[in-house]
Parts: sequence; structure tokens; C-alpha cells
Amino acid sequence: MKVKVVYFAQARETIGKRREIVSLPNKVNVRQLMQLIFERYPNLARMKDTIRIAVNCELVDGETDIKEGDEIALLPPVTGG
Amino acid sequence: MVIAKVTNRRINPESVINSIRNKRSGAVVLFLGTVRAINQGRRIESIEYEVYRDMAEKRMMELGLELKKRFKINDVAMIHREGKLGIGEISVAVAVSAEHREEAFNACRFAMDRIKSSLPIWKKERLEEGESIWVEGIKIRE
Repeated sequence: MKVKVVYFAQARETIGKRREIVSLPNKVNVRQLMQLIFERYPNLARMKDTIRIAVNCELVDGETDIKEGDEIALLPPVTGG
Repeated sequence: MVIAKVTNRRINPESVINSIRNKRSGAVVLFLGTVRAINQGRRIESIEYEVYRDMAEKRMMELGLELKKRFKINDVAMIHREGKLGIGEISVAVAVSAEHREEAFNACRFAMDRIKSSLPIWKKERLEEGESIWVEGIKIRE
């Protein structure tokens, strides 16, 4: 299956892209996807303890299953306001 | 009514206020966040806001609905800027109307605290010396 991964702020700058399509095996949860992404981008892995993940604009934990077409966002610490 | 919006255009405080004024309300509270010239000793030239717009607007709308449950208010409008802002520009506006002032003040403060801690928004300072740095943030909350 294919999913869209979007990167923001420091995460976006660290890997030099805003979004990408990632092909995955059919049964994958958020934790497994993050392992794959952090292996692909070692510099991003340094930020992994501060990043939170949203799937289709909802904050999720690592056990959440990923479905075809999901939008997965990597969110570094926020500074709105 | 709840208005929740991210915009790349200048925020006009008067139109924000007018969007939530009504005949049932005897109190209107407006909070504006503006860009400071100096932050933690750093001299700022401008600020760039990056926003995950779909999620930010969705969460702001949910926040507005929560405000209406928690506080005795009538209407609320929350507008956040994205893109580049100069010193003194308005980065965020929260306006609340209520029958009485206390609930309007409380709801406005609650909303601002949540905007700072639970929206996917990031700011980068461009310093006068030319360097740009991401402002240190907090892990996004539910």
C-alpha cells in the first residue's frame, strides 16, 4: 500500500523535503513506519523523542494501524501563538 | 458560532471583533499576539510561521466547540497567521463574546493557552544579524 508522509519545520529542513509517498507492506503500524523512516534518515532519528505523529490530522500512538492512502505527519515541538 | 482559521493575510482586529459581536452579549474580549522585536535577548528582524493548515484548523474548530461547553460564552473566533511577519504584526487573534465579562476573559485565556500547546504551528526567527533559528517548542498536546 501507499501512504503520504509529510514533514514540518525542523523535520522538513533536516531531510530537505516536505512530503513523499512511501510504499509499505500491507499490515504496518505507526511505530513500524517510524522505524523505517528513521532508518532512511539517520539525521531525523536524532529528533525522534521529541516528534509526535498525526494520522489524517489526529494525534496517534505507535500502535495505531496505518491504512492505504493515510496522511502521516511528523510534528516537531510546537511554537504557535 | 465558532470561527477557526489560518490565514496568510494581515489580521484585522475590528473584523475579528465584528464577527462575534451580537445582541445577546454584554462582553467582548479580544486577545492579540504580536511579534516582539526582542526574544530572549535576540534581536528579531521577522518571523516565519509554518502551519499544518488542515490539522490546525480542525483542532482550532474542536477547541472552539470545547470552549462553548466549558464556558458560558456565545461566539468565539480564532485566527492564526502563517508565512512571514514583521515586528509588531498580529500573529494570532482570539475574540470571545459572552453575556458577562468573566466567562469571556476565562475562555479567551484558556483558548490562547491551548493555541500555544496543541496546534501544529512552528515559528522561525530571522535575526537582525541574518541568521535564522527555530524557536524551542513543546511537545504537542492533545
